[in-house]
Amino acid sequence: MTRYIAGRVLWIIPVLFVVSLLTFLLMHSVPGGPWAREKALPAPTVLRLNIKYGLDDPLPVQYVNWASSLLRGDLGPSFKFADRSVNDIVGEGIGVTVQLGIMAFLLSVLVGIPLGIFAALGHNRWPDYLSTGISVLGIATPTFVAATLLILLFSVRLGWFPTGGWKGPETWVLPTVALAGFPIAVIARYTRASMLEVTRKDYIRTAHSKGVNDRAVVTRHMIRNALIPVVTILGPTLAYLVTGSFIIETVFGIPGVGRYYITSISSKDYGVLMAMTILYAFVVAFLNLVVDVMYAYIDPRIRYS
Amino acid sequence: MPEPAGRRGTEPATTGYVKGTYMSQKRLLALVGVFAIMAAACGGSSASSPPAASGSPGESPAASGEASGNLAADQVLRLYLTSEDPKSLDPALAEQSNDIAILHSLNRGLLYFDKDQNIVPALATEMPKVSEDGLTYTFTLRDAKYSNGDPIVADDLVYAWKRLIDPRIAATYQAIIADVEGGQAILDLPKEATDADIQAAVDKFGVSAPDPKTFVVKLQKPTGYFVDLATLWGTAPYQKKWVETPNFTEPENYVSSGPFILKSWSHQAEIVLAPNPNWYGTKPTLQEIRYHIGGDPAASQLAFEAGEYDMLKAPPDQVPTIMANPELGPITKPIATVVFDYWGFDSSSEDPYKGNPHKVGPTANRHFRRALAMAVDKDTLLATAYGGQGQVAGSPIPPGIPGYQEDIGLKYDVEAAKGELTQALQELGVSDVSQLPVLSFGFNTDAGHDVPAAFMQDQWQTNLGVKSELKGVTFEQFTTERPLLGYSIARNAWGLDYPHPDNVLRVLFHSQSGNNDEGYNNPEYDKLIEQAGAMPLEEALPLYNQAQKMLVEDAPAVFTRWRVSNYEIRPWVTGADPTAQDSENYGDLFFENVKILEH
Repeated sequence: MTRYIAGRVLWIIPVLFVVSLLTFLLMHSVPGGPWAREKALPAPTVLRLNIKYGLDDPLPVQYVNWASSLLRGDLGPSFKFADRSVNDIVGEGIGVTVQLGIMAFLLSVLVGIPLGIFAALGHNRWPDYLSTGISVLGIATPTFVAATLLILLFSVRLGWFPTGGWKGPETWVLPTVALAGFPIAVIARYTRASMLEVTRKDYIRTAHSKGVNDRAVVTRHMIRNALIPVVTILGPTLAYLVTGSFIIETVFGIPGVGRYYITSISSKDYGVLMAMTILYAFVVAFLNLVVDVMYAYIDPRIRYS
Repeated sequence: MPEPAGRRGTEPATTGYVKGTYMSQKRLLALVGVFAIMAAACGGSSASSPPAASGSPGESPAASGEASGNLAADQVLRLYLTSEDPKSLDPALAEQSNDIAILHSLNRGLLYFDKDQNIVPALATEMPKVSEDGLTYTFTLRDAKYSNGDPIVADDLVYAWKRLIDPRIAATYQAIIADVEGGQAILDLPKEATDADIQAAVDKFGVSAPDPKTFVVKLQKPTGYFVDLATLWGTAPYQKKWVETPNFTEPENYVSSGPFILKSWSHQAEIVLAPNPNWYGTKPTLQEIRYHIGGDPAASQLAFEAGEYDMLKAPPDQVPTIMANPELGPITKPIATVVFDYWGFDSSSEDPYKGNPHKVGPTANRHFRRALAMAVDKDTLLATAYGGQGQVAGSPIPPGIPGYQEDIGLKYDVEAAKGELTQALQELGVSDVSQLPVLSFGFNTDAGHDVPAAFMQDQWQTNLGVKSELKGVTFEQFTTERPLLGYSIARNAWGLDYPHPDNVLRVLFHSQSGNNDEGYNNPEYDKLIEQAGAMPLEEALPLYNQAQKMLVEDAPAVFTRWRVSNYEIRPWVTGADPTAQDSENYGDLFFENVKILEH
């Protein structure tokens, strides 16, 4: 197992290299640059900006410079925020985004899984339809609609929570709920489907015929087995949540890093863009590894050689 | 987000354990539908009033703007800045409206504005002495200190001005003080210039400090708008030792020369300003200005309605709703801005413009352009495409700015337009309008320009039979191709950096100007502008008026709209002086004058 984990960890490095290289090339192939303005900057100014930020070097040189400073832990300058480095920018926001992501993840799991179980157990009766209805709403409602509605209802009309910002627990509630909406729905659907499949298994019939009472069948046999496929999607779900949602962070004005995925592209902030992409790739790769390892613990039939 | 795979549509056989009654699918859909409608209905109702106590005695209705009453104990002004952090609070590198909004409060230079937009001395004791030949400006500094207690000396001005134009700093606004002697030479330094070359050129830059209280600027040639340049945020003084402090723009290090200091900056979240104890002007009554950063404009409106802000620039698309709201309408004030919209025509003549080969189209013909300009019903354009917001324009210089001329624009007149078109066709040697090529009509997408563009395309088709093809492209592509005359008609806009006709008439339409996206080339116009640029404003105005009239008649563009900002202001905010140059909030040029009343 240790060898397996070590091997997987080492694999992350070439993955990151390829992702960063592809991103770098794509980034530079898009027309325009960080100096595009409504009215074109004078040519001498653009020249000086390119010199200052090393954009006049050939692309391979730029990439190597970026990669070598990355290895030294320096993510480079931000092309948009002139006073701060990418390290500063990501450092400021990452804590907030990760906290929000983890809270939303916990909420999604704590609500989504029971919702799915509830649905499966009440299959084709009102629990199933209620749960399905909630899931459909969660999947179908665009995040910005859900977020704005939450603000309108709970902040403006009821005044229970502030409309945005990130200052204390009362500002955490609405963004967490809004962010968790979609994952709850998906986890619930997945859990429900998985539970229903487990219901048909022979070992469940065996348990019933042994006289095990319904509650014990559910808790001791069904849930555990049903959760194995669900664990598969929890990894990417956590990755998605922890790296932040542009929409949630924008609508609620949360100072995280999620917004930079979109804004760094439109403002061509190459430094932040590269950092964000590497971050996301790393988180996804790492969490997939965690999930795979957890599999081995959850399901004794799985062994990694 | 991974989708649950493969199970859709396959219902497992029900065992005895999970059997149940079958609920009609239709009933479920009805339930969900009712739920959705209820949610929408909740969302659409009017906002609740802010959690404010009843008004204090003596408060006049908000419409008058100058309420009276007792001052509140908490002098805190809560505002919304923008959805993103300022790009930079380094005076040399600041360029966006949110950077400048904060800098107005943090730093003041030699000269500044009063509430009527006249240029008045700030750090300078009086307006500068100008030499006979108009080339040398001498400023005398008053006794003043920075927020750190150090005296403000002329050497700091020399340092700041040189740093603004220094190629190694690569400030986006570096060219704005190129009129100073040696400025153009610095900008023209080639790529291969060594650090020593650059330093030598910067050392020769025409600013000097013969003594700590005297600052002297030597210009390349007489420049009438130079006093405007001395009001800009980038020309305010600051110390070399401040810039050399690591993270000098962070609150713990920031040194201010203006009425406020940077008390805290929680990045992408909040900026808080507090009074500068060493400020030499009107002492601020406010104890704090809290700028919230983040969220989008729609969310900021919700926050305002929930009572989280004392003032807000209303999001443009919500203005009609806000004005119709009985609680918000009366407290909303429209203020003219320095921004205007125009639609440029490729006006360059036969010869390739600035070395760029391009296809000369019918817009090279003056009569044709005049026809296009006269065929647009701007009132309807404003009402339909812009929701009635703004003012119909006929000329570029906006109201309230020196050089503004009322009613000199080409009027909407379809018959006259057709007359111009006939003349144009004759001169172009084309027998009928249908034989003209289809004009390329460019604009950038995702910025709300599609509707006005479509309107104008339709006007030209219906009124004149002139066909154009809409080309909506990305911002980067558009801003690259437009100056290269890639379009016959191109959407454009401009916000003045200083309130002087030069910043519109020369910067946008002089034939050698880098911002002349239309290739407009009129030697007579150029001469007028150059002459006027050498004279002080009052003397220059008649020339600028003449030039603007000429410009409008030549129609290198059709000027459609002067933008107006609508500010919602709670009645307890008093003392604010709005100007067209307000960056993000009502009266943000002079927040030292604002007071909060009891409420």
